[in-house]
Amino acid sequence: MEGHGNGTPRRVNRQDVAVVREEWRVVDRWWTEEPVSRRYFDLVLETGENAVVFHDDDAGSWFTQRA
Amino acid sequence: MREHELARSSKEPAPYAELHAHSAYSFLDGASLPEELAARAAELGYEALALTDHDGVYGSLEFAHAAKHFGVRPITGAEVTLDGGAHLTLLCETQRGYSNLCRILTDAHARTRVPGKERELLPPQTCIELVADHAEGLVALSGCARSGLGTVDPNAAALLGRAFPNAFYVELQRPFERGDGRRNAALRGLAQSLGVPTVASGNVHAHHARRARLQDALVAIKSRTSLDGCERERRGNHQSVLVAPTEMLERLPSDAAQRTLEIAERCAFDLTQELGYRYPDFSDGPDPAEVRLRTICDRAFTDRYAGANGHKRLARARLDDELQLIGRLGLAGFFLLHWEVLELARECALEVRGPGSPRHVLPPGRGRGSSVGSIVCYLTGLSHVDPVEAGLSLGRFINDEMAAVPDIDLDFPRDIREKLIVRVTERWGREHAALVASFSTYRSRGAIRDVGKALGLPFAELERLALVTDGWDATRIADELAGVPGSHTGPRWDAFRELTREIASLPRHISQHPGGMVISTRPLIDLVPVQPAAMAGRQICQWDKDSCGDAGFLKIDLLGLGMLSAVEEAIDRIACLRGETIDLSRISLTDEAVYAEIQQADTVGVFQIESRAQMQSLLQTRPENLDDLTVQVALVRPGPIQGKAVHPYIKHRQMLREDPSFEPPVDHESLREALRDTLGVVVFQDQVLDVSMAAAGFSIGEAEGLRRAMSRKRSEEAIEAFRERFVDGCLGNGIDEAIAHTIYDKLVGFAGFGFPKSHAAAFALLAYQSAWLRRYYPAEFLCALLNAQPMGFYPPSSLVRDAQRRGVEVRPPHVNCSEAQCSIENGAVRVGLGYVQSVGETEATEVEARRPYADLGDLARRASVKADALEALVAAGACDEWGPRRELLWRLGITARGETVPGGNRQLALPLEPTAEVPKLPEQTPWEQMLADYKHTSLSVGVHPLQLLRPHLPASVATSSDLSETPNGSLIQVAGMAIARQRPATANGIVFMLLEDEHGQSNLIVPSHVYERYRAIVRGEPLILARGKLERRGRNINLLVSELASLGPLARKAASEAEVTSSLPRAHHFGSR
Repeated sequence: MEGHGNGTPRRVNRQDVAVVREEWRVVDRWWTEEPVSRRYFDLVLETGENAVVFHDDDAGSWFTQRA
Repeated sequence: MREHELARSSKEPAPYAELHAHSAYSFLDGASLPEELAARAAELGYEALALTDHDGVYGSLEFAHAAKHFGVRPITGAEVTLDGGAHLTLLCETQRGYSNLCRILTDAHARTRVPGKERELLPPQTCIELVADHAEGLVALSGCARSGLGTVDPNAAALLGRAFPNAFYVELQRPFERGDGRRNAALRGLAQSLGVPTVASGNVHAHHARRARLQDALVAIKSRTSLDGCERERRGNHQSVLVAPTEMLERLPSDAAQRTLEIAERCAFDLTQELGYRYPDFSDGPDPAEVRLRTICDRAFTDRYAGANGHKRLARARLDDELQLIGRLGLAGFFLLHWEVLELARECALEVRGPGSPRHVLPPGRGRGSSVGSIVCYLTGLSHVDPVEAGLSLGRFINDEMAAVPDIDLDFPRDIREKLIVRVTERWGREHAALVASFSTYRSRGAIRDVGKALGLPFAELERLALVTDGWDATRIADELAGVPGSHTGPRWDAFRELTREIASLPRHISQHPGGMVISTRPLIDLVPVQPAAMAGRQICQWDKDSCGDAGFLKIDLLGLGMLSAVEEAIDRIACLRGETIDLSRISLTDEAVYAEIQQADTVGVFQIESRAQMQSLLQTRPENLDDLTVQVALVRPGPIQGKAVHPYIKHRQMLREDPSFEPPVDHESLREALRDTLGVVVFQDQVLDVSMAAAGFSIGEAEGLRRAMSRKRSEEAIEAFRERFVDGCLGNGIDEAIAHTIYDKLVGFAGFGFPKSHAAAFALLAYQSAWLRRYYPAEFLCALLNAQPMGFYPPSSLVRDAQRRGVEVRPPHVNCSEAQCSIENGAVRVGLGYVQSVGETEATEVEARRPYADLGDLARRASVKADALEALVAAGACDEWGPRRELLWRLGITARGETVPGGNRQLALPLEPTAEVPKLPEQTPWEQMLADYKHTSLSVGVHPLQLLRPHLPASVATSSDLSETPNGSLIQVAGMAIARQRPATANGIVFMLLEDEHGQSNLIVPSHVYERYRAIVRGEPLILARGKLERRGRNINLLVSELASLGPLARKAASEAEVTSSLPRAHHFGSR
C-alpha cells in the first residue's frame, strides 16, 4: 500500500485509488497496553471495487479492512 | 505544522471564527478553563471566539474578560438542550438577546429539581416554543453533529428557521467520525430546503490536543463508568479541540467557514459592559432613602444611647459624619436594603424561636467584617458592637474614595438563616433574587477517585493514595504516588499521573455559595440565568462571587454560624431548665473567672480561641479584657503569622506585664499611634491602611487599593506595583529607604489574610460569650455544642471528654431516655438518638415520639425504623437496659417487626415471644463495648481507649498529665488518640497534632522530614505512640517528634483481636493535607 504526502492512500493492493469517499479517525484505548490511533479511509479503487483501509499511527503501517 | 506557523500575522485577518466551544463549565464535558480557551485562541490567531457551554453561562463573564485581555473578541452564547434532548447553539447579538438567552436557560433549569426530591438532579431542557418566543437578539445555529436539532429533528429546525428570521443557520461540523460526509450532505439539503445558510463550527471541547485524553476521561466520569465502559459516549478521537483557523478552512466548506466571520461580526454584544443591574435602593418611596435612613438611626440612637453614656456626644458626631458620608456616596438605599433583610430576619427568628422563647432577647443575627465599624450598622441592627465604645474605625468599610459598594456580612443561627434565604427570595420575587453560585473544583482526592475510577485502577490503591494525599493541589498527585509503596507502572498509571495534573482546578459541578445572595430591581433572570438549588425553596444564579462582582452585582452575605446556633440553644435550655433568662448583651464583660480559664487555655469548645495554636498563644498573651481578646482572635491568622507579628506581640505583652511603663518599639515613630493597640505590630487589616497613610502619606483610597491588592489571588504583581509609591511616600516623611522597605515587607507579609479589627471585635464578643456560657453552664453549653455539630476544632468525642474532665456528667444514648437530639437530664447531658450512626433525624424523632418501650420486641414492633437503625441502636448501647448487646442483637434477628402499610400507617406485628432460645453468647469485653460506642456514635462516654491500653504500654510512656512535671529537653514517649491534625500553609510542612489520653491532651510538633517518613501514621492511625524531645517554652509544652509508631497492632492484641483502627474516630484535619 502506498500513500500520498498528505497521508491519504494512493494505491491499494496494486490498484490506484480512484476516489476517497470518506476519512475518519479513531483514537481509543490510549490508557491500555494496546492503544489505537488510526486514520480510516473509505475508498473506491480504479477497478470500481470498494475498500476500507487504515493507517495505524503507532505501527506506522497501512492495513485493509473489509468494506 | 509548528504552532508559530499556525498563528496568522498581525495584518492577515483570520479566515474563520469559532462559534461553538465548550469550556469546563460544560461540566464533565469541556476540558479547559475559559481563560485557557481564550489564550489559545489568541495564540492561534483567532479574532473572535464564542463560548457555548451546555445550558449555562457559568463561565461566560470570566471568559469575556479573559478573551478581551488576550485581544480576542468574546461572543456570549450557550448550547441549549431542548425537550427530547436535541441541542441548539444560541449566540447573543444584542443585550436583548442576552436577556432572552438568560430567560431560556432559566426555563431549561426550572424543572431540574422535583419538589420533595430536590437532591436528584434532572437534565435541563426547554421547549422549542419558548425558544421561538425569545428569538429576538439571538442567532441560532442548528447544533452539534451528534445531537444537534438539525440532525435529530429537522422539522423542529424548520420551525426555528421561521422563528429566527435571517438569524438561523444550519451548523456543519467535521469531527472525523464515520458518516460525517453523509450527515453534512443531509444538513446542506436541510439548509437548502429551509432557505437558510450553513455555517461551520468546531464543537471545541478542549483548548489543546493535550487535553483531549482528559476530555475522554471526563465523559467516563460523567457516565459514572470507566473509559472502557463508555465507548459510545466518548467522541471516538481527539479532533474536537481548538485548531488554527486555516485548518478549519481545510476541514469544512469554505462558504460555511467564511460565514462564521459574518456571524461573529453580528454578535456585537459585550458581556463585560454595563448590564443594567440595580439593587433595590428605596428610591421609589415617599421619602428619599437618606431621610428614611436618618429617621431609623435617630430612633435607634435615642434608645441605644439613652443611659448615662459617656461617649454619647462622640457617637452623635460619628453618626452625623457617617450619614453625610453615606449621602455623598449615594449608599443610603444600600443600608436600607440590608436593614430590610434584617427586618425579615426578625420575622424569621420569631417563627423559628416560637412564642415566648427566651431567645427573643437575642438579635436575629450579627454583623461580622468591617461593617462592624459603622455606627449606622450598629443602629440599624446590622452589627451588635458599639463602634464608638470599642474604638473601631470606619475607613476600611466606607470612605470617600471608594469605587465599589462595600460588603456587609451577617451571621445568623443556622435555623434562622435557612428560613431567611427562602424569605428573601419570596420578598423580592423568584425572578429578582437568588443565591450566588460556587463551583466545586477538582482537588486531590476528587481527582484521585474520579480519574482513577475512569481508568479502571484498583479501588483499594486509590483509597490508599487518597488517604496520604496533601488534599488540595491535584498537580502534586504524581509526586505523592511515588511515595506510596507498591507498583504503579503501566499505561493506566502513566495516564493517571498525566490526567490528575490536567484535571486540577477544573470545575466539577455547581453548588451554592455559603450565603451570598443577589437581589435585583430589574429581573435578575434578564441578567444571569437562575436555577433551583439542591435545597427546597432555594435558587442559585449561574455566576460565582467573582463573576457577580465583575458584573457589579451587590452580594449580601447571609452566613450560618454554628456557634450562634449553639449559644441560642444553650440560652433556651438554661431558661427551660432553670427558669433563668440570660441576656448575653448584658452579662459582665470583665468576669475574672472567665478570663482565668481563657488565660489557662481551658477553651475547648469556645468560639475562635479553642484551636491548638490559639491555646498555645493564650498561655503567653493571657488576655485580660475584651480588647485583648479582639487582638487574640485576629493574631493567630496567616496574615499576622506571615507578617511576623505574633512573636513580637507576645514578647511585648510579656514585657508590658513586667513593666507597665514599657513602650513597644516601632519601625518608625510615625507608626506609633497606628500600632498602639497591638503593641507595635500589624495585627488587623485596618492597620495596613493606617500604616500606609501614616508612613507613606497614602490617601484612604490608595491605602484601600493596597489592601485589596493584598487580598486578591495571585496578587504579587499588584502588590509590588504599590511598593515604589509607598517607599517614595516614606522618604517624603523622612523615613529611611531601608526602613521603608522593611515596613512594606511586613505589610506584604500580612498579605490580607487577616481580620479587620471590627470583625475581630465581633468575633471576640462571641468568643467571650461562649466562654462565659461554658464557665457557668457547662452542661447546657456542651449539649448545645453537640447539637450544633459539625463545627469548631474538636470532634464531639473530645468535647465530651473535656466536659467530663470538668465535671459534667454525660450519659450514653438510651431509647427510653434520649431525645432525638442531645438533652439535659437531671443536670447531666444525655446523648441524643441522632448521634447513633444509621439512625437518621426522622428515625430518631420517630423513636423519641413513641417512647417508652417495654422491651426490645416492643421497640421493634412500634418504632418505624429500618432494621439497620434498630441494630445500630442496640450496638451503640441505647438498649442496654434490656440486656447484653450481643444477646439483644440475636433477639432482634428473630423478633417480628411492624410494617408500614400503604397510607403510612403502622401495622403492628403480633407480640409473640421468639420460640428459639438465646444461645449462650460471650459478654462484650470493655474494649469491645468502648469500640462499639465509638463506631456507632463517634463518641464514648465510658472508658477512654488509653485507659484500657495503658497496662500494655511500657511504664516509660508518659501521660499527658506527666508532661507539666517533665524537665525541658527530656527524651520521652507519649501515647494517645489523635484528635486533631493541622498542617498550616505557613508552617513549612510542619504538622501539629493533638493526642488525647485518659487525662487530657498532648501537643505534638511533627517536623516535615518526620512527617514524610511517617505520613501514613500521621494521616491514618487513630492510636499513636510518639517519641521525641519535650520542649517547654514559657507555659507551652510540646513534644518535638522524632519517631512515630502505630499502636494499632498492640491495641488489637490487647482487645483480643477486636477491630480497633476502623472503629475509632478519625482526627479532624485542618490546613493543607
